[in-house]
Amino acid sequence: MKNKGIGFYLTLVACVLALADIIVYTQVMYKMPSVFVVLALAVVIECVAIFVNNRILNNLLPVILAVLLGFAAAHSFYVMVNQIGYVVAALDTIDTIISFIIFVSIAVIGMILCWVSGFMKQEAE
Amino acid sequence: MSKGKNGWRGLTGISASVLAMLFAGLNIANANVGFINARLGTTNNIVVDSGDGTEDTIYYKSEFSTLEEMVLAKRALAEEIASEGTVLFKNNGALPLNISSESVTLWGLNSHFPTLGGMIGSSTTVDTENGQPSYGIEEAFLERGFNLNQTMIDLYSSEAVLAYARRGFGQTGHGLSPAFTATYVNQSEYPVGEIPASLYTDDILKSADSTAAIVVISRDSSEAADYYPTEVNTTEGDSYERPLALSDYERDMIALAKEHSTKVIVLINADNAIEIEELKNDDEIDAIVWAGEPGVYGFLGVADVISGEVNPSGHISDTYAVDSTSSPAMANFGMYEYTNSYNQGGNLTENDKADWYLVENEGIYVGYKYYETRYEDSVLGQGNADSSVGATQGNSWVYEDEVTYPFGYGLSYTTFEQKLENVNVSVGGEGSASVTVTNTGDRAGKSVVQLYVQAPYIQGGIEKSAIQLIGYGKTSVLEAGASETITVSFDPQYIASYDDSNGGAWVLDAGDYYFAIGNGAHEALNNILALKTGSVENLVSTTDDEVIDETCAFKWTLSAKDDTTYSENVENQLQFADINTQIPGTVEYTTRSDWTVGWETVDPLTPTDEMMVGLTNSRYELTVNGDGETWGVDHDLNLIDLVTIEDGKIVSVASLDDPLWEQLLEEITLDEAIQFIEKGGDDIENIDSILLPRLYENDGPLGFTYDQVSGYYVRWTKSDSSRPTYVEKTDDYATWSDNVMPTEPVVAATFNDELVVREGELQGEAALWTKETGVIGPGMNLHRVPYNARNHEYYSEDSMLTNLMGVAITSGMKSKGLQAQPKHLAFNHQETNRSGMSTFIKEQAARENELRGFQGVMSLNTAATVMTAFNRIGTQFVGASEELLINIARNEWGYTGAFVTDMINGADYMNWRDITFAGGGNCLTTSAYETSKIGTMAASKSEIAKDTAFQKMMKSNIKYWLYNLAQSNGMNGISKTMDIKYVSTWWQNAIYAAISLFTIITIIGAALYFRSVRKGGEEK
Repeated sequence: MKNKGIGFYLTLVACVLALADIIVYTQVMYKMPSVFVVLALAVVIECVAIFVNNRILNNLLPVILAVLLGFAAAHSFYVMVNQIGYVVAALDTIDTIISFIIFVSIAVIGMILCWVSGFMKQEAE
Repeated sequence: MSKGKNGWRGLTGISASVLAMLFAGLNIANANVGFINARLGTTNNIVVDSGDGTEDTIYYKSEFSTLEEMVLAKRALAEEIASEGTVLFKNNGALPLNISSESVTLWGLNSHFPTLGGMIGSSTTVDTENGQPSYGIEEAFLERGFNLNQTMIDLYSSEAVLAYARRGFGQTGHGLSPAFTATYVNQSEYPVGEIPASLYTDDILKSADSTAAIVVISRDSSEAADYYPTEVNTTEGDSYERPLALSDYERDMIALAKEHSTKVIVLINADNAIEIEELKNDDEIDAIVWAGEPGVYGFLGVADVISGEVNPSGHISDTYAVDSTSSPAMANFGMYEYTNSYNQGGNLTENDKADWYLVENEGIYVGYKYYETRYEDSVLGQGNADSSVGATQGNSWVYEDEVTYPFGYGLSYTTFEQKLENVNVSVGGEGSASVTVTNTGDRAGKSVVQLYVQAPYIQGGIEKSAIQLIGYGKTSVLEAGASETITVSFDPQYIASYDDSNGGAWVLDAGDYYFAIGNGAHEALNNILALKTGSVENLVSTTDDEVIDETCAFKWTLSAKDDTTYSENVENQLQFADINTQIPGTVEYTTRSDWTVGWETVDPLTPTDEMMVGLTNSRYELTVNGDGETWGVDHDLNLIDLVTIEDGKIVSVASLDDPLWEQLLEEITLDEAIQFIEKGGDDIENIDSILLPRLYENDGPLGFTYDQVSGYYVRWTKSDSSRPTYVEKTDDYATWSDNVMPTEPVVAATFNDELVVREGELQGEAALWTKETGVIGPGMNLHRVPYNARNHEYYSEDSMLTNLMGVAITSGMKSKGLQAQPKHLAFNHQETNRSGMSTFIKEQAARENELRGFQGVMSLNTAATVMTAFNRIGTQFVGASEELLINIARNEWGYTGAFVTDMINGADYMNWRDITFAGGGNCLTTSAYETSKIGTMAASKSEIAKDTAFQKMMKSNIKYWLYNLAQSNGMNGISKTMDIKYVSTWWQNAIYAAISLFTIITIIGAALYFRSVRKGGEEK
């Protein structure tokens, strides 16, 4: 964790959010295994970056994590489209998609953190 | 340099993640392409004509030249159905009102917020927008010239009462009640929505003096909801014994109305049979009118009845019991959970959707078949009918203590005499009865002739209802003194009883059969008993107007038992659905041999190993077998080539055994076949190989439901603009709602086939103007109990009334090329836990009640498709029941229509393998379907390609779909010189363009980032 820039710490926060999102996603009504995989991949890559301390990986971390979190957020809609429709049409109640909304919100926040991180230094000068 | 590097990286991060989201979005968009196209007015399939373009390809033409004409015709019919479906229960001369001299006070907050129809789901009725009028009670009565007490209207419109309204917020909606939500597991609250008497100030009460009171008693209806006897009234300060009984506030309001009015008329605005015995017996209640839930325009028709513009001729399609919980079916209604449920941590899984069951202990004795049969037995002193078991009052069961208004009852402002002239029965042929109706009163009006039958009951033999409806007819408007002879035709097969002993057969026992007419089932039964016993002694009436007349009954004798005429291809199919065959001794069914049994709530069930096979799904696994079916071969054949067209109309389609069908099916690719089945339950997927364009279907029983949001225009594209029924968004009526019709119980109460056929025709017309090929309706389940909050989508507690109504409306639809899709086959008797619920039922009850309701539309093939239900029959999903779909529907009834499932939400009990192999049809899949544990059909293509038996079933099921589509309005615009070309829509192109743009940005950003990194390194 030595010589890390502020950007790296932002990706670390994004990684923590990804980890939390995995837990939140277990509560979502309809789940896709691939979303778990993508989020887990984000966490693993961050861990590798921490322990391996590879310069290239460190520098690409914001891009990789942003892509993974963005994809997870968007892809998770695939099986939830109709349920959202039911809620909008008052066929079902909002509490059935609250977990999903939280999940997507966390993923998007994580992605935005990675965007910001991308513009910052990943390693101390 | 570092700044530049970070900048490129940041840009790359943003563009790459947007790109990832775009890919995911494209995937989602393509999975929902039909929905998006329908809403955006786009299409992927352009029809290209190589002919000279002069051919008339509009095989189903509208009888209207403008959308306005069609919309107004539908409104007029809706008003007519509502007026003919209005039932007069009681009248001491208070009605009709003379609206030119009598002012009216509408009492009840629910007069301001009446229920027009369903609250949510497939028959949602909402206030209309975009300039389309919607008529609550106030609006309708004012439109018809009633002089209403504005002070009372002001009270109900004031802020002070809003907190009591069922609707809570919004307040503009008729029939919307947010408090009454779709909670599947625990429904324990229902707000009646009336206000306390204290809010009626002296000034308000004074304003009602010298006016006629119309007191509105209202209840909601909804998909995905049920009432429960134990619910709590959440209207502040109010309470009730049961939600279908009057609440304290309602009673207080009625008391005030009696005190401050010249006359009191109670208007019942509910499709669930509520408890009104106290109103019937109250001499200060002058009249009771049942309006049901009459839809967007229906209260105009109700107003016409109140004013006498129309003479009431409706007859109620359910029994109105004194106590709504008094039938044996109520012993098992609600939530019953297997001991090994997923919910309780058992070995059933979430995806099994198998936690719940329902045992229909009542056997055949649903609705009036219970009340009237027990009545006969009490009169004849048999079967312990007088026992206190099942009696709601006193120490013995007494009919008049149990029934307020019998099934089929209804009054008029005039009087009619009905004379049964003759009855002809030809076993294996047709039956008919001639009835001469004379208007003996002083007002013109219509009269309903109801024909009932009683089959001979042998003590301890096959269970038989003492009375059952077999047919009906309705006169034209008869002037005072005028007569008309009505011939009621019936099919004698429906007199037979199902005997499941000895393998199963439809049986006509030897003995005396009695036919009778009457104002409802009870009067008809009394007429039979008078003839049968030669005495009217001991016979009781529940209504003052009842006339017992043995000449209104007819005896027909069958000398020898007949168990063959109606038993061709018939054998037991549903024995497994009798819980006693799975777990012996579980339930005692209601029986007329001893009315003291059959009332027990079934103890929690633990499924046997055999039951677990059904509950854990997937009866059929794909295997490697056969040489494979042929797909994707060009025989130069399209679906339209199997259609015979004469004079611009479709006159016939190649019969199902024509070899051309095999060739046509070989044209289809396996991918197309999979897509058609897997995605073809909502829209009908296009099959380009055979020139089948994407076609559209829509809920529901009251009209095209979801077009209430989007309107008639949404499915049209510019390429359709030459069609005569093309609707531009700018059309004055383009955004009007189509789901405007009265609910099914109101329609049933008309007992008027002519009107119902016309309703079907106008739905077919609406389809032509909204470019729909299928309508998911009518609802045809039975009202097993009054507590199903979805009863408004179904006609009646009676299977024959359901049968005949269904045939009438689907005939009308079919004549206009609209594919009727009655639902939900079968046994969808409660909304609570409907998904995957195991319904256990005796085969006789299944066949004589619920299935008889569907039998008409499926044996006469007026239904092009049938939607299967969410529930199981026994432990097997009804949509994957070979016994039901093939053995009964196809082999016994000769059904040539197709099947479709209800919405598949990822539950594996509704899986495409079992559905297809059992003869089911298309799958109405949703996005959640992808979460199915067994995977999707598309993902299993390589395994499917090795399973010849499975492919054969796929083809068979597709064939039934195509056979019906070839007869539908979906062929409009298609000729034998046409072909389909696939094109991308503008929105797909936009996504592709965005993907391209962000791909370029990402590549450039990445390149510049790496360049700056390298440059930075070199500089160092």
